[in-house]
Amino acid sequence: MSLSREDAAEALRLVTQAGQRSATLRRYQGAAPHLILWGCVYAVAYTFGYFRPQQAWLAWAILVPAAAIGDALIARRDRGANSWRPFLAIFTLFVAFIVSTGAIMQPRDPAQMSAFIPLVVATVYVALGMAIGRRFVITGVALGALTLTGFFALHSIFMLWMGIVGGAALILGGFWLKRV
Amino acid sequence: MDAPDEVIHQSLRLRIMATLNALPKAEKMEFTRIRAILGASDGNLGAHLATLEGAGYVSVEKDFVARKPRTRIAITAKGRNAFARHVTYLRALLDDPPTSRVAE
Repeated sequence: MSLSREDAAEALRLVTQAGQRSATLRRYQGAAPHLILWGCVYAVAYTFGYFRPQQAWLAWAILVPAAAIGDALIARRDRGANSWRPFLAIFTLFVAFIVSTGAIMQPRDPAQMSAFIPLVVATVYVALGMAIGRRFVITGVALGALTLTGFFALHSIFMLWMGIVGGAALILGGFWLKRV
Repeated sequence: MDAPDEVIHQSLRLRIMATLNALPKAEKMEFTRIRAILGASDGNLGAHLATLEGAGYVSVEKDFVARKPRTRIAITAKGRNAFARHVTYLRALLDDPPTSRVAE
């Protein structure tokens, strides 16, 4: 069996293409359950916050640590015993950033922080997507656009909007990431 | 390496190996997922996987999940080495094709 230079170039192109696609889809598959989990958190916490604005903090105080533990368990299941540590570090960094930002900006309207957090998340998805794959970019852009639409166009029902539409966007994004 | 790996070089087998080689060590991929990624038919993919398994390049594991049959495939250490050697051969062919070697 002898190969020409053209055969070799074509074979290497196939190798690169298949390898990159496999790696990208694996990353998508790994991220999918996290998106679905946080979509559920958004759906419950924002919707609860709409109907019971005074107790909204309670829903977040319970659901956010629970989801962080869920993230760690998913990471451990999918990637091995010590893989929860980066998740804990990222989560702690994110909470510290949000608390610090809130302390500095001191928003007057709860909707301001409720819009700011998903906008930060959306930005992170877009940035990640630039390195990992365009499905993250699209999910991030969709979440950001929905957040801005709800905040500026549907302010009176913003929390409900984020619960139903924002939560659904993340859940659907998660299922989309699972697909080949 | 003076010759290509004839088991790996066939187009679909090459793509199967590249797909599995992108996974971390010992990680398996379901048959249905490989089929979807590569856009291959059941029969074609099954036949080429059997060839790769016969060469010891992949391992095929069959079990049941919720009473449904599941087939998972992993690349073996032998398969990774053979794939790496084949890719090295291809790159060498591009960098230094046989005609230029003769001309020298």
